[in-house]
Amino acid sequence: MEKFNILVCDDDKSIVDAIEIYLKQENYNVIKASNGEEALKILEGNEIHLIIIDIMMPKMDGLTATLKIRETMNIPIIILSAKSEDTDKIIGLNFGADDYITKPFNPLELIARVKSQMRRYTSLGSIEEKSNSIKIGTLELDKDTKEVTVDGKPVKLTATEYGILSLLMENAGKVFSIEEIYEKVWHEMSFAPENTVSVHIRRIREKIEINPKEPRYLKVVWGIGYKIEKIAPVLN
Amino acid sequence: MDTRLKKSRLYSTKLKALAVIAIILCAVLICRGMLNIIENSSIWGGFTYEYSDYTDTREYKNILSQYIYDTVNTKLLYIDEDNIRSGAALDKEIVLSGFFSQYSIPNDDQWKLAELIDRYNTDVYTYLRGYDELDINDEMEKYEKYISDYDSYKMYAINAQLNDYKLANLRLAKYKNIGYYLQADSRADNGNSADFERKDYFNTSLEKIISQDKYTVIDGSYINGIYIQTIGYSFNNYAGSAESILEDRGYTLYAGAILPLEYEDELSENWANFDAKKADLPVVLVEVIIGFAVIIALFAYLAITAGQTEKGGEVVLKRIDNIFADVQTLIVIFAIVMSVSIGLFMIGELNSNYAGGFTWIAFTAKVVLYILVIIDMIILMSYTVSISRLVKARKLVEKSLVAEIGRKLAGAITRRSLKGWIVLCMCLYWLINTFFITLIYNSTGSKTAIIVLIIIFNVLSILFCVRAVTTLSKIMKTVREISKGNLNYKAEYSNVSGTFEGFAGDVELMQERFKDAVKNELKGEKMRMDLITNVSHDLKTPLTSIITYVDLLKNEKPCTPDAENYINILDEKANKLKQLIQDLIEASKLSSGNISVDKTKVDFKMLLLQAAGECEDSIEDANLSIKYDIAPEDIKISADGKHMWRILDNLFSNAVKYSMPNTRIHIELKNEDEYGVLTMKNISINPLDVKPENLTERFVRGDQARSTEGSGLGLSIAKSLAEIQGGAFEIEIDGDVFKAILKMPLWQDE
Repeated sequence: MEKFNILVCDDDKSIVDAIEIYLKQENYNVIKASNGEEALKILEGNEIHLIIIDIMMPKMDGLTATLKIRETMNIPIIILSAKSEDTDKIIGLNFGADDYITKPFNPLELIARVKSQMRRYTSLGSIEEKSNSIKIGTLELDKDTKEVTVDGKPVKLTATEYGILSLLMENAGKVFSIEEIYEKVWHEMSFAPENTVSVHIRRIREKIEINPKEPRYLKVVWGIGYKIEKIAPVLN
Repeated sequence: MDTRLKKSRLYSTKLKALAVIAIILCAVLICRGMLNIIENSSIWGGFTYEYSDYTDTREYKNILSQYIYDTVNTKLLYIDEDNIRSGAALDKEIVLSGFFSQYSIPNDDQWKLAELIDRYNTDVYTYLRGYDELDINDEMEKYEKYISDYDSYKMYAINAQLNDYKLANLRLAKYKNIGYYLQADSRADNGNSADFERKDYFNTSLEKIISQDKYTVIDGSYINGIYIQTIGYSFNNYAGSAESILEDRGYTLYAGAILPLEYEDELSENWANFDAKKADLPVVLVEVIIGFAVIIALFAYLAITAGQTEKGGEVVLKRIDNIFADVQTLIVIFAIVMSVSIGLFMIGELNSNYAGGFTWIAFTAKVVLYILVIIDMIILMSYTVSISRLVKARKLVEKSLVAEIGRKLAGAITRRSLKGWIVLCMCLYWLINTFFITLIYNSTGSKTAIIVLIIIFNVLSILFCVRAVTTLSKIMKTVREISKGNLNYKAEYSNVSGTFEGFAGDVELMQERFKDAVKNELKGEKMRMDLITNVSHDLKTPLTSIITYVDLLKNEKPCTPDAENYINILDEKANKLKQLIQDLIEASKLSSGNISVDKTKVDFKMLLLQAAGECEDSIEDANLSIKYDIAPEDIKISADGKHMWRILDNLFSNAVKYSMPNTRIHIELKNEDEYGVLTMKNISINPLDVKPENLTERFVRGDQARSTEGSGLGLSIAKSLAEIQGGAFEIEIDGDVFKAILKMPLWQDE
């Protein structure tokens, strides 16, 4: 199997080293750079499949580097920055990054996100015409087999969880209130206020999301309900 | 040294005091001299220098005229007592008119009565019979009464003449130095007294009188020589004037003092007195002139040395100098006018009451005059000295009321002081109206024009006031807007009243300054915010390494159980540090207001359930359970869902961290007034010995030991978030019960 090359670019060598350890465990090949200029140079001479890049670096910062890379390349770029403001994230994504992870990060989350991006980038297949399958991003729900996969990995859901998820996925983008979900999934009226639905939602999130606190798919609309984000399906 | 000593001696207080005394003495001397002249002039009817000798004086003329009158009367009219008693000396016309007025005889009766008296021997009855239309009896009685009254009046007049005759003889005897010659001339006697013996009467020869320089000749109504005004008058009521007697009797009178004076009488005494006084006059005048000169010199001296103790020395102002110079001048003018009028009155009293000797009135008048002079001198001296002090100190203009008023006015206008303006405007308004009203009262022409003017003026005044008030209210509105925090409020100052122009400008300036201050404050706040953000970024980078390497360490096998334990502690603390940094950023963002709020209609119930669902695991892990008490009705609030989640998350994690295990968290949710109110109660594991309000302060936790996890920012963040969304967040503590109350405004449908 071909080893993918991941360029890790950060001026803090210890962080680069740590990331290298994790990525090597996952069988990736790591190329290290300490600033944007270096990263661009490496990109010229090497085949790189994914870039993890910090923003605040000497010589050339991560955002500029991202802009330059995007002029010629389409490879996934994950920004890894201590800047945690919403605006920072928006700027980063608008500059062409595919994902944004804030420091200090959870190594497992980083790996999960790297894998997710790699799959998107390297998958060569086309959309399978499964009539009874709903695909949102890398999240797929097969109505026939009642199987759910995220990033190609199967997820084990209880019947209720499956019911909730299929309801939300079928109506992606629509916000369902707790009562609606309860009525549609349990098929009974909700009388007493209960947090059953919200507990289930959280459990689903823990299973399908890389970071349940910052969900990609199953989002809480506070005080209104829950929804699955409408995201274009990713080829598998 | 010597001159200097002299100079300072010249300025010494003693010398000044001496000068003051000298001035007063001189003034008294002048006053005495003047009084002397005035007194004498009142005797002689003029100043001595006007007369060449005594015969020109009024006194002499009075004596002479009395003498002439007495002579003419005694010699030609009265003649002797028997003649008087017979009534021959009476002038019938005079007696009758005297009688008519004395007894108030009606006008209608007067001519009849006169006729009746004229025909003295006709009895009343016979006389009245001539008027047969009369009621004789009544008239008889009345006219008989008239006749008897007339008889007694006549007797009274005769007695008066007798008395006058005796007095005249006594008076004539007094003036032996006056000679007279009554010459019966060719003019015919009018025949009023047929038995009158026409002959010359004299006490000296005609030649002797005529040889005198000055004598009086009265030829009928013609007077030659010394003119005697009083000769035309009658000295008593029952005889004619000397003039008319001489005319009637056909006499010419020659009279005058016979020089040299042979006898010692009142005339010779007066003559000698006049000569003495006339000789004295130049001396007195010189005295007065010198006195004036000395006074002027001394005044000059006082003015020059005023306020100084040596030449060129510092001018020391006295308290009296604080009185405005022009006010002082007015006081002095007033004092002088007053004393001049009082003085003139006193001199008048002196003139009219002078009888040659001592009288109380004349004495009092003199004393008052002296006192007046002294007082005036003191006032003048004080004034002169004060003014010269002010002049020397170059403060004369400054210390004047006119200047003061000018300054106040100028100040009012230039400094735009409101009080000054209002006073000025009110004075002007009052003055102009008064002027108009006076004009109405005094104008003879059409008053309509003036009334129209008054109306126009007053309407203009009202418009002026309205404009001022409008401007003021504009300014007030601006200030109100500023106080509300609307710093960008731009008042429309297009039609600003001059009175408040400065004020408006000041308010605008204040607004600008305030804006700048706020901008600076915001800038400062942003810098602080940036600092915290940067610091936390700088903290995050090494923290990232720590967390990742701790994680890597965890996967390193084999390791001793102790090492594993240590690694876990490191992991826990590193994560706590991470949480702390995040909270710190959030708290600083909130405290600087650097956070956006996107308010939507939020279902508070659902929000609560969602949040509870998110937190359920940690609640269960902490062996806690939730007891809900939720009102059945809808509770829709106006809030930002994400912020609300942060608040609830903080509340739940607070409850999880600090609750006693195996207890319940009580959550109550209801509508209250305009708010959706969430109350969360839990029992604290540690005694809560903090004030509730302190719990929402940053970095305060219920346990002072700070041993547990948590940054101490949770409740502070919750409070800030609630407040920026228009809600409220309170903490109550009742024993070990910790109670958080979150109030959020209800959603208002438009």
